[in-house]
Amino acid sequence: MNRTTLLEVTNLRKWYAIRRGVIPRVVGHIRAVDDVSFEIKSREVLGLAGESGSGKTTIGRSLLRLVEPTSGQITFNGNEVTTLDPSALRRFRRKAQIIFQDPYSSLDPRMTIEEIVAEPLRVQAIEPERRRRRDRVAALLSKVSISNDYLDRRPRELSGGQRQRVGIARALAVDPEFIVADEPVASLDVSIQAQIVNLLQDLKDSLGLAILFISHDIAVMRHIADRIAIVYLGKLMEIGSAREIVESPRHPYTEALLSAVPNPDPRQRRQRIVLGGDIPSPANPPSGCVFRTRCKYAIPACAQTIPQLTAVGAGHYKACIRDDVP
Amino acid sequence: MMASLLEVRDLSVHYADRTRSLLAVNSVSFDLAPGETVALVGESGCGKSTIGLAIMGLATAKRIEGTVTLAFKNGERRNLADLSDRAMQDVRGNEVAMIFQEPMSSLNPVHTIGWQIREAITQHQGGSRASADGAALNLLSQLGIPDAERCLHAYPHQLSGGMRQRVMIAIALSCRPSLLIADEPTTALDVTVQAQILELLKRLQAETGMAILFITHNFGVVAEIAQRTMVMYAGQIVETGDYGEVFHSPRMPYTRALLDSLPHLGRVTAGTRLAAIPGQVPNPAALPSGCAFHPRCRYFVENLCDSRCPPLEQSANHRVVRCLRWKEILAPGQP
Amino acid sequence: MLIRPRRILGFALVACALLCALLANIIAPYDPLRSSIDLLSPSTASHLFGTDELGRDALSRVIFGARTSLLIGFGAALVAMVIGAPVGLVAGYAGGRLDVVAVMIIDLFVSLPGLVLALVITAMVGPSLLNLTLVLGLVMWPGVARLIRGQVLAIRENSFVEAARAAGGTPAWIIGQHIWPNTMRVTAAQFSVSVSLAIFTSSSLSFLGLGIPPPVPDWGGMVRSGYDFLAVNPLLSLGPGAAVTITVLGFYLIGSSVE
Repeated sequence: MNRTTLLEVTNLRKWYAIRRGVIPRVVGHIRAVDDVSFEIKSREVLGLAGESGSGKTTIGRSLLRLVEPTSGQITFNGNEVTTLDPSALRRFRRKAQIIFQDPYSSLDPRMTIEEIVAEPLRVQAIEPERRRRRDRVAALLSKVSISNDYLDRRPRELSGGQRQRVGIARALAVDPEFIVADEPVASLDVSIQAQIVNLLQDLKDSLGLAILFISHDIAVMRHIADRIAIVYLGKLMEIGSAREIVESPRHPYTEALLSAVPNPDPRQRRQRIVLGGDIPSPANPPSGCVFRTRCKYAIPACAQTIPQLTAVGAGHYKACIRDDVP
Repeated sequence: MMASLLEVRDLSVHYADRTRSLLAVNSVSFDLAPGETVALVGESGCGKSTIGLAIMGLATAKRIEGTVTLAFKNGERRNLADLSDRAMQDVRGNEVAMIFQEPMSSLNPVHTIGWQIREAITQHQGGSRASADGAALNLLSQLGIPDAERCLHAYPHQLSGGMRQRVMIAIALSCRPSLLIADEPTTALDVTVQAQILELLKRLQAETGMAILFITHNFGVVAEIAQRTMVMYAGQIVETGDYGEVFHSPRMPYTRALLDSLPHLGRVTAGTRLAAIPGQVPNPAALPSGCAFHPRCRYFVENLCDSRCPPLEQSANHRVVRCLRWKEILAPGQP
Repeated sequence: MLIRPRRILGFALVACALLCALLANIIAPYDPLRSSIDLLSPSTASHLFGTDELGRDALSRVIFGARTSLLIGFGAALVAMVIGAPVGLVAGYAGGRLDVVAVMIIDLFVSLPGLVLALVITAMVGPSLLNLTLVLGLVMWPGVARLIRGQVLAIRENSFVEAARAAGGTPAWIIGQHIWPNTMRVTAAQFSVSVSLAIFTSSSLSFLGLGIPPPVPDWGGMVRSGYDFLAVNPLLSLGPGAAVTITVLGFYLIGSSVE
C-alpha cells in the first residue's frame, strides 16, 4: 500500500532540569528523550517498545505537545507542530488524539459517560446543538460496543474494559487521523485485553487511523503493529518492520528484551539472556552508547561514540557500532 | 508417596461490608509437595491473592472456613486456621513467608534495609546484632546484590524496583521457610528485571528446597517457573494439572479460551483477530447461576450449565477439571 | 462507621439553630428588645431563662441571637470561600512561580493567630455586622485556599485532566469543568467547618466587647453581660453559652463527617 508520511519526528529531545539548593540552581538534567528521530506513515501502526526510563511515554506526549519538547522538530502533514500558536494548536488537536493507560483515572468520576465523550466536541465547538451532539456521542459509543443505556451512567458503574472503550470513543469524537495509544491494555484483565486489541484493529481499518502504540508488551505489539521501534534510556535502539524486529533483531538490547519476554508455551523455552544490573538513571546516562553497561557485546569503543542509526535492511535501522552482533 | 507440605481443604473466605457479603474463595482444596512450584493463575477478582493471604492468616475477612494443614520444620502437622494470631506470628517468616507485588508497601520507609532484615532474623532466630548483620550481608550477596554492604545502610526509596524486590525476597527467606507464597512479585517490574527475579527464585529454590506457591495472571511467567498449575475463576479452582499438559490440552473452556486469546511471540497472529473472550469477569457479589463461566462460554448448553454448579472431576492422572461437558468437548486427537 | 450518627447529630443541632433564626418571631415568647420592670428575675414559668438587667426575656434574646450568629457565620465563610477558592484553584493548577508566591502568602497569614488578628482589625474599623463578616472572612481565607490547593494538586494528577488538555481545553475550562467539581466534597465540608469557626470567633470577639453593639441580641455579648450576674441567674450566661456550643458543634460535626 502506498502510504504517505503523516508524522515526521527529527532529533526530538526532552530534558528535565534538576534543581537543587535553597536558591534553586540547575545541577543536571534528566534526559527523558534524547535525540530521537522516526516517522509514521498514514494508516500505519508504529509500536514503541521499551521499559521504564525508556522515554516512550514522554515521546508519545511530546508528539501532541502535552509535554513541551526541549528541542527538535515534529511535522504533521507537513506542518511544524512545535511552533504552532495556541489557536493552531487547538485545531491540531482535532487531528491527533490520545488514549490513556489507566481506565480509572482517565474518566472524570463526576461526569456522565455522555459528558465525557462529548467534551472534545464542546471544547472544539463541533456540533453545538445539544440533541445532535448526544446522537453523535451515542453513535461513537456503539462503535466501541457500549450500549446507549450507559449515556447517563457514571464511570464507577463500568468495568475497566468498558471504561477503556469510553476513553477510545472520546479520542475518536473529533475524527482524528492519528492516535497515541499509551499502554492501552496494560491495566486490563488478560481476557479483556484481547477484546480491546481487536477493537483498536477494527477501528484502525475502518477509520484509516495511524497509531503510535506504546507498550512494554512486545507480544501484543507484534500482533498489532506494522513496524516497531525499540527505545532505551531516551534513545532509539532499533526500528524496523514488526516481523523483522521480532524474528531477526539486530540490536543487542532488542535481542535481550525479546529473550526476556516469557513465553507461555513450555515447549518453546529457549536460552534466555539475563541482563545484569539495573537500568541506569536517566539523570546520569552512560557515555557513548547508553546500553553499553549491560550489553554483553560491549567493547571499549562503545563508551566513546554515540552510535547513529544505520541501515541493516530495507526500512530496518539500528544504533550500534558493531555489525557482527547479535 | 511423599507427604504433602501443605494441605488445603475446603478453604472458603467470606468478605462482608455493611450492605452485602460475598464469597471471595469458594471451597478450594489443593496440596503442595515439598520443593515443588505450583502456579495459581487467574484474573482479577478470582480469589487467588485471597488464598495466599488466608494461608498466612492475613486476610481481613469476616469468616474463613476450611483447614490449612502445614508440615512444620520440626515434623508437626498443624492446621494454620486454628492458630491464634500470636502463634501465627511465629509461623510467618519462619515456616511460611510471603512476598508481594509492590515491595514499596511492604518495606518500612523509615528504616534501613539492614534494620529490616535484622528485624526478621532476630525475631525468629534470636542472636546478637552482629550475628544478624553477618547473616544479612550473606543473604544479600547470595541474592546477587552488588555492593551488599552499602545496600544494608540504604533506605527503601533509594533502591530501584528490582532491588527492592530482591530485598523483600531476602527478608522473606532469611529464616529459611519451607514454603514461599509469591503474590504477583514480578508484575510491577520491567520484563528484563522480571527475568532476573525469576532466575533468582529458581536458583534459591534449588538451593533451599523450599516449595513455592506462585500467584500470577501471566501464563508466560507460569511457563518459566512452575511445574503444576491451578487455574481459578470466580473464587473456585476450575482446572489443575501439569503445566505443559494444561497448556497443550486445556480441558476447561475458560482455560482454553484464555490461552487462545493470548498473543505471544511463539505464534504468528498478526493480521488476524485475537480470539477474545466475550463479556467480562463476573462481579463476586453477583455471580451467574450454575457454572460461573457460562455467560461467556462457547460450549454453553441451556438448562445444563446455568442450573448446576459443576463439581471438580478427575480427567486424567493428576488432572482435575470443573466442567459438566468436558468429556464431550475434548479436542479431537488429544489425550 | 460512626460517620452516619455524627452527621445526623450535626444536622439536628444545626436545624435547631436554623429554626430559631428563621422562626424567631414565632417561637420567641417575647420581643427581645422590650424591657420591663421585672429585672434580673430568675427562671420562672413565664421567663424560662429569667430576665436580664434591663428586664428583657433572656430566652427570647437567645433565640433571636441565632440570627446574628448565623448571618456572621455564613457570611464570613462565604467571604473566605470567595477569596480562598480562586486562589487555591489557580495556584494549585498553575504551579510554578505563581504557586510559590501564593503559598508564601498563605503560610504567612495562616501563621498569624486568627483571633488576635481579628481583634486588632475590628478594633481599628469598628464592630458592625458587615465589618465582622468581612474581617472574619479575611482571617479564614488562607486556610480555605490551602485546603483547596492541596485537593487541586491531587486531582491534577489524574489523566482525565490530561485528556481535557488533549481535547484542546484551556486552563479555565479544565478548572471549571474538572478541578472545581472534584473538590466539591471537601469544599462543602470545609465550608461547614468555616461557619463553625466564624461563629465561635465572633462570639469570642463579642465576649471581649468587640461584637455587634447593643441592643441587638448577640450570644457572645450576652455571655459577657450575664457574667456580672452569675450569682443571681447563671442562665443569663449559660443560656447563650450553650447556644454557641450547640451551634458550633453542629456545624463542625457536619463538616468533619465528610470523609
